[in-house]
Amino acid sequence: MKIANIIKVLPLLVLLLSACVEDEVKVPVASFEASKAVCTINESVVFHFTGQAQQVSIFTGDKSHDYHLLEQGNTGFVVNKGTFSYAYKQPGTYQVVIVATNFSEGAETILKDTSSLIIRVTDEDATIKALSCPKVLYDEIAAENMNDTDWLVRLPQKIQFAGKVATITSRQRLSVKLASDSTVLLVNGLKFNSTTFYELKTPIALNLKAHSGNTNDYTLYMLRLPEFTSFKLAGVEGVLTRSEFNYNKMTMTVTLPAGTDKTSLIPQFTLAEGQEVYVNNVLQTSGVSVVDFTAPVVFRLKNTFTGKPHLTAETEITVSVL
Amino acid sequence: MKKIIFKWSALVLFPLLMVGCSDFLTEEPLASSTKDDYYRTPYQLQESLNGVYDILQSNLYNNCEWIFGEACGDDVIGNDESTANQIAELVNFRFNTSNTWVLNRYTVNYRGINRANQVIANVHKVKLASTDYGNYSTVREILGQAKFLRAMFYFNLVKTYGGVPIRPEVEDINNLVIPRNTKEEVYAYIEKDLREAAIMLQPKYTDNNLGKAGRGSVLGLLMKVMLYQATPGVKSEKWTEIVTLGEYMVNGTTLTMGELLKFDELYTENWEDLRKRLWFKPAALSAATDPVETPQTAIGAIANQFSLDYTGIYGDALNYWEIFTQKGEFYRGSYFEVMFKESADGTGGDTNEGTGIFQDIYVTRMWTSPTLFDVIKNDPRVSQVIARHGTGTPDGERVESVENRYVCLKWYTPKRERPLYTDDYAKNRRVLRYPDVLLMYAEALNECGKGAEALIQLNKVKSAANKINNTATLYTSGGYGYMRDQIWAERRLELCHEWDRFFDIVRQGRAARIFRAFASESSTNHKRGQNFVEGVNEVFPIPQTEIDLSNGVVTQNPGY
Repeated sequence: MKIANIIKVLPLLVLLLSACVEDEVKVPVASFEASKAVCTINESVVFHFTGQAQQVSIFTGDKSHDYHLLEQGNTGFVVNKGTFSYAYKQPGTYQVVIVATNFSEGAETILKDTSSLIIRVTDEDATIKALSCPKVLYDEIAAENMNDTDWLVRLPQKIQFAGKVATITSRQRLSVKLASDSTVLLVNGLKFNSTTFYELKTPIALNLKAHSGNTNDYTLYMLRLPEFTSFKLAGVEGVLTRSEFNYNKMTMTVTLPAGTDKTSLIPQFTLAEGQEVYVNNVLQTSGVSVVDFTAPVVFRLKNTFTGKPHLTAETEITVSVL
Repeated sequence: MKKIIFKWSALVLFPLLMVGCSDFLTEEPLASSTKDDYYRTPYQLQESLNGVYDILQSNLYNNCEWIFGEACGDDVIGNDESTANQIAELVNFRFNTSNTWVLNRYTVNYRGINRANQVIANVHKVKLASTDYGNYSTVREILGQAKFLRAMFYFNLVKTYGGVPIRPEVEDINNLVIPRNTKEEVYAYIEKDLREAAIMLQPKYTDNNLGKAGRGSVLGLLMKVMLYQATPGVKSEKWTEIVTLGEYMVNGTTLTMGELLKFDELYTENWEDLRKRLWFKPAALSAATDPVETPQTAIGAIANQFSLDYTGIYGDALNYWEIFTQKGEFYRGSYFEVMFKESADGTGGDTNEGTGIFQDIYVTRMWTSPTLFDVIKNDPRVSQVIARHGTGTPDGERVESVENRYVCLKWYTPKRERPLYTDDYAKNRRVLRYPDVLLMYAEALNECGKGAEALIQLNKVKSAANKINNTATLYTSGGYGYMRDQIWAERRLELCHEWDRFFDIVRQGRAARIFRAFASESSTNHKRGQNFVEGVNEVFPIPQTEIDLSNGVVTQNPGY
């Protein structure tokens, strides 16, 4: 009886098991399209898989995703629901390979098909994002972008730091932040070097060439923050105090004999070439202009780059008479 | 044979029985609340506010906080640099738009926003038992906290993803897909919430109300929100506003409601309508003794509520490391904390979330990075926040970690605070502390050309830390760039391992430079940070499912 039972059940079992055997694996078809053939760096490209397969992976062709270097450990990405979005980080020409795979149960049979297309990634951004002198004594002094081509850095003549006054040289290192890493920067015709000291007395030519070949030329100008080379009231020399925090704000005291009339004094001062002095927006002339010193007076010194009226550096010196 | 037939027929009938079970009871539940009749009393509103706070306490929210804020930054290294799990891929910038954590952070913050929106959208349904001024205050403070929390969730989103969709307060089921707002719009929305919350809340909540966000929490966050909108080295109104807030919060300068709201500039609604909307007691109903706020009303001072002292909630003196333990919860310098509570009866196995997180990341997951150790090793704080494997913690326990690794003691649970059961760890997360406020204030002062005043604030923080071992080294005066670098250096030392580093260096605009140096730090060969791409990885991608579900209405960030 029991054996008979087993015999009856056996054919059923065989049927059940045989249902699991796969029919033949179909040949996959790899075909796909890209949303664009030419793009810029960091721009999204969407790949659409248009073939037939159970599993799809894509090799984007850039660093560590190169299909031809599969054996060397390069990897692809899984394509989910037939679309894949990617952005290239470096300019260049890349071969994108899509791999379509069908396989049988247990992967006893694997059939593959590949298809490829070419994507060209360009990078034409040849601009400067930031420019500075990174180590003026101890401080980073940023240059300002004045118009399409001109950058201006305003250097103090002297800096007070830790109780001492240091003279600032016009030979400084530069720090340049480019919009794109693949851009080549030439400074005065030579390759830029972050440890070279550049002489800023004469304007510096900055030539940028993007990966795609387009160029941009900039000029870096330097202006000194103006100071009086001398300042006298009634023959008495003023004593200058620098701010440790703001290089363009200084104070000066002049000690005059007790009882001196402060309401109309005539300052005697000298300046470097190209510099001007204003009090309340009135241009001052040494030995001529009369100033009321009953309250501290703010002298605004203005330094203009010769022939470039849009390049200026200003200092405020507050003069008090004691 | 009959037996077999019986067996077989039973087998056939059995599935039929199972099918019969799929019939549901169709009766209406008799005692349940719906969103239409729920928000009738302040108590019910408070309950729904508790639901918003609940998000802050969830494991998911806090895991997202440390993964993005800390693990992505350069203050830590892990043991997962070469592995291929979702966290490892994210923090090494090898992830794609389908990364689980990119989705988690997006979802959990929107979940919080949704809950906060329900409080805010339904507050008008509340009926008060009487027109006592106190009843209005109760509702107003609930509403104010909901606004604060909503702002915090949006801030998390905007600093992680850039501009995100601002959800309507009442969701329309037929119109669930909305496009992204710009970053500026989201920030404006956050600021409005925070400014309003600041005039609605008490300065600081104590006793039974500990843990509720007060005006200090709100304005501290507002300072940070403005800090993230300003660019170092570029003059902006935001810098001057941070200075104004700093003066109020640190020096105790007066600030009026109108000034804080920027009422004249930003509002078209009249003052009385605004008061009504924010649940100030309407002037028409006011009794003679009730305060009637005007735009000229000064908001109460908070400068004296917080301090740099390492003083506990009961006035007890704390060691520096203890301000990050249970003993230091709500110490004098704490502006906002996420509360984690141990289960009341001390039994294990409860579902109280968030509590095991510090234990999880301490010792086994993340260690101090060599670059951080190099700058902190000469600072008095080093003995309080960092311990090498094989040495002892400040309360005398041997650190069992990995050879040559430095563990972060801000995540350490001291021996005496160890729970009875392993899944019952509980210490609050410090979200915002007084030193952070001082350093934001200092940074803004420096940006506004007030370096001398900035130095004073900066050295306040440093001299407090100097008390650890009575050193006297302070920061020194210098030009703009020098001061800025000193302030940023102090930010790193004082606020390290508080889950904010990544976002901080991104907003400073120097993430790429820092990651380049970080990837090549010599003593370990982790290469963390080498895949960071400037101009791309400063923000994370919008989760792929959001893009897919919206059919292209929600657009992706550049570079993904």
